[in-house]
Amino acid sequence: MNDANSLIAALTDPAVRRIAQCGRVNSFAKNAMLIQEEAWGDTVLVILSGRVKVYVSDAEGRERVLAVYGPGEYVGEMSLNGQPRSASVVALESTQCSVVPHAAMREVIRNPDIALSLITRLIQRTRRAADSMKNLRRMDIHPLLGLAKPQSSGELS
Amino acid sequence: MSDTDSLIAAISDPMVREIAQRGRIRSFAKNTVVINEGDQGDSIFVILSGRVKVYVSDTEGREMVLDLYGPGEYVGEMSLDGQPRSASVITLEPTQCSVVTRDSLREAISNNPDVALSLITRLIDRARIATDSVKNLALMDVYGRVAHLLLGLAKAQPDGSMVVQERMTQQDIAERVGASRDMISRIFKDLTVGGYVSVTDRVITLHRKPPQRW
Repeated sequence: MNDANSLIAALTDPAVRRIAQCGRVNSFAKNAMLIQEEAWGDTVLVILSGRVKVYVSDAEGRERVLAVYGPGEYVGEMSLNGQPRSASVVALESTQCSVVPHAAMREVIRNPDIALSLITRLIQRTRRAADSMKNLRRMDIHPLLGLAKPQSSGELS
Repeated sequence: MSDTDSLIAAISDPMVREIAQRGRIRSFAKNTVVINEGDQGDSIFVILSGRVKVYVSDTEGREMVLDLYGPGEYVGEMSLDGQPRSASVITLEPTQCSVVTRDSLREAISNNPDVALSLITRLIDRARIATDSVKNLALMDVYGRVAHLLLGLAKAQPDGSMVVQERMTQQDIAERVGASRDMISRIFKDLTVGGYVSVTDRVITLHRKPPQRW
């Protein structure tokens, strides 16, 4: 058993292990871009070792980090619906992934257990985003006002 | 064929139809809270007729509307992970739903992999909308979010203007972009004075494209 195979065998979640078995193992250097927001891509990347950062950015290069993932997690499933990448993914350290084509992924999720595992993961992603949304909406500052001043009610205006 | 059977038969997506067939039909009056954020619950609601609003409330009790849904769409699938309801759902008009338990839905998934794929696609869409909102909230100011919302909902007219298809009050807009009504009112004043926007009887017309940043 080579190194990559033993990394796949070490994945604790059987559904993730099954997905990783459908891919080809690839190594990425620290700071390598694995996925570029808005680009087209048709692969899921299961992280076998290392760590990646998922983030969105605007035209001026401002970033918002959505998550940091390590071994046993995967990224790139958001494009399974055929749309461009919804976020960027960069390696925070040297990282090994099993790169699974979407066609193979669609095949493997015909197994209901793997489908349910993906469904749960997508729900958790949405929940996490919804939580950030609630925290973010407090920053309600009109650009024309410059600095918001607290009103007598205590609310920012 | 009963009335509700024909409503189920009218659902255009065969996968949604298959899910709806496994549920129990229920009717709700206008303004009924069907799902309450934070509650435990394991059913999904396939909408057969009517319209519902999905919203979250923050710690101060302010609402943020996530989306509106109508016939052929479903809500409540977020609790499939066994956790409490992630958002509240209220009917905007009298609404009929097919209420499907988690077990029935799991059964549908096991019986037909295409049902799972359809659900996965829907969840990806939801996750994308949520990611997009986070991006807009984090990286755009309130003005940018208002402009983004209006442009997203507006349709081009023959005279070159754009008309927002949904009738919305400033309160509705405030809830959609996560800002106070006061703030929306100020932004609209600026947009109106600048000749970008006019509002007649809650119909919002964009006369020219508002700038990306104010």
